[in-house]
Amino acid sequence: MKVRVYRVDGELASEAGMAAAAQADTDTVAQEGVGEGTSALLGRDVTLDVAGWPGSGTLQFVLRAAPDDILHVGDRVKWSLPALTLWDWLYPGGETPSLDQIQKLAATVKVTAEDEGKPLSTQEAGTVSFSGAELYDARIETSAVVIPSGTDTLRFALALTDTSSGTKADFGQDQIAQRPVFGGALPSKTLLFDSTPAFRQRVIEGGDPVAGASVLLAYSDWRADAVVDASWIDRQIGTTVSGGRMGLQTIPLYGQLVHEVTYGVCFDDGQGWRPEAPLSPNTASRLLGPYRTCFEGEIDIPATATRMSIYWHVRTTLLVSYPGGSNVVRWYNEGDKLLRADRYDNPGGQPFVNYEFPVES
Amino acid sequence: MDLEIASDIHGHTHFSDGRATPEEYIDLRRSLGMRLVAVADHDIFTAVPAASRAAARAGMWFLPAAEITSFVHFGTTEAEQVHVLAYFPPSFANAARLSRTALHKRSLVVLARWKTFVLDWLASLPTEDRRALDPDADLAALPDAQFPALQTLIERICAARRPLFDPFRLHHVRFWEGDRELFGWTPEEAMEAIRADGALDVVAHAGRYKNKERARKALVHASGVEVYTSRHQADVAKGYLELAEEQDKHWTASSDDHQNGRYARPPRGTPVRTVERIFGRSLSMDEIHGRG
Repeated sequence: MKVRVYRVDGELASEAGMAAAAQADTDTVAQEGVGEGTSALLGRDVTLDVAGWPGSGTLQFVLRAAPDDILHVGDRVKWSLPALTLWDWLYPGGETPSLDQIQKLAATVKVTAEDEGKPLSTQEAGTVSFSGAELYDARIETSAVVIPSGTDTLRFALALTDTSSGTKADFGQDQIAQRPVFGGALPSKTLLFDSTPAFRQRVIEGGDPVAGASVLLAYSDWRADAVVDASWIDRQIGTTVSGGRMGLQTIPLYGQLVHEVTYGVCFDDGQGWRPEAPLSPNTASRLLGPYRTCFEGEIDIPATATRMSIYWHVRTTLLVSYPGGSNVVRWYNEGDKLLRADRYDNPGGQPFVNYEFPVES
Repeated sequence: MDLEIASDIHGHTHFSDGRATPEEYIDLRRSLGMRLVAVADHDIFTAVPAASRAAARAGMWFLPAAEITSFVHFGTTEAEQVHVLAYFPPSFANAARLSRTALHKRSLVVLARWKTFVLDWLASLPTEDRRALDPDADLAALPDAQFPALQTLIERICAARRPLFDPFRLHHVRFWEGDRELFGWTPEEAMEAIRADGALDVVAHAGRYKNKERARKALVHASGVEVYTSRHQADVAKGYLELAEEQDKHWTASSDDHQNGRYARPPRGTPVRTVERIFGRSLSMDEIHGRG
């Protein structure tokens, strides 16, 4: 079934109050955005906030209001930014401003849409209003931009201006974390199994996997943790003596838990179940944030398939590795890989029951 | 019995005398299914940016917090530290709010003075020792917040100059005992400062103090008491729970984890009543049960 998706017209763009300079870009985006695809996601409204402390790493634009936790092609994105936070970035260590003063602040977010590292377009979202009646609640509300088709990444820059004094501050693309965008490579899709905290499984781009196209199978580390209940696995591999403020202390040494995630898949194409296959651990996945591991692998959906069944198999190993030093008590041999859990992930924990998905033709 | 929320709101990171990064600290508690978490490093908030981001990614509530050092009988032979936990609402995990609190401003002074204290000690050492501990002579140039904290510094000393470990361990207590301006306030004065900042004051590991009578007096003044902690045996915790209930105090259950031993999960959660007091609002049943 072909479904018409994200129609983005000029009226929508002008309603967003975009800067004139950005309008041309947006109109181009609108023409590109009209088309046919297989996503069930229509243009959605997303509001971003800012997180991060200047001087403590990269700033991030985080979701403040959105239908889910992932940005999609066709999303209409605006910003609601805490004005006092921005004021502090403009005047580090300065006096606390009044509400009147802070409402002279202007913010412009410059958004560059990219596909595989190549810029597709640049748009700007500027201040259109203030919300919040008190200083700590004051927010700058911006106009919206629409994520163009074909986008896989958004990069950002932020310009702040105190219009009463002319003081400016710029935060470049190297100071603000980029955000991944999904839905730019339809009909290829992503089937993510995660848990935050309840188990959930979803096609990130909306709809279902598409016959004759590829689908990225993705399984999150935290889901694997929950399937094997990693919190109950004893990771201790020995002890060592270490200095602390109370003196020398014998402290435990822990090994690293490593999941191996494999899957079995079957389509209604008469070929039966495929042999169980592994996913690759990706510590820089577009699907999960930093410090996370996503297990990923791409498969092709047969052109004749109308349904797919899948199950997961998680094996968890304790990797033994000791630090140097003479005070280390080793319980195992260096480099040992100790199997600590072996579990299947089936719906409701029921054995021989599979996760079922329709396949779009 | 009051409803409780699975939590651990007193533990330390490598920004004070713990060993974990803020991310490691949060991830352990995430993996245990906790929904509310706080890092309470000694007198500082350096872990707040990274820990609050990690908690947000994990869908956990995060409380900016610190374990504030105060003294009874400061400057005398009976001097004893009393620690008061300060818990801010989640909305203070934001530089604009937290940086305007008196406790945060004090924390910046603590960081600056720690750096000076350590550099002065290094300067007092023979050249060979100093070079071993600061081989690139770059410690002085580090920003205060990036200067090695207590545990990190001890590990550096043990690795590079083991004979200096005991001398430094004996010396480092002067940082607290010798600074009346920063640490010479009474527990009650610390509690008032915490309240003035809009945070909840909770006496940490109350059973640990030698001067039981003075500690009991501080508890009477406090808004809350840490009932469950790895420092309290079960019978001690039971006594403080009864005290909290009799005197209508807030109470908490935490680990006081320094990553020096196997993690001791708090045997109880934090009462919803206490969480609501810190948040400054009531929680819906959906929030309490983690739905939606």
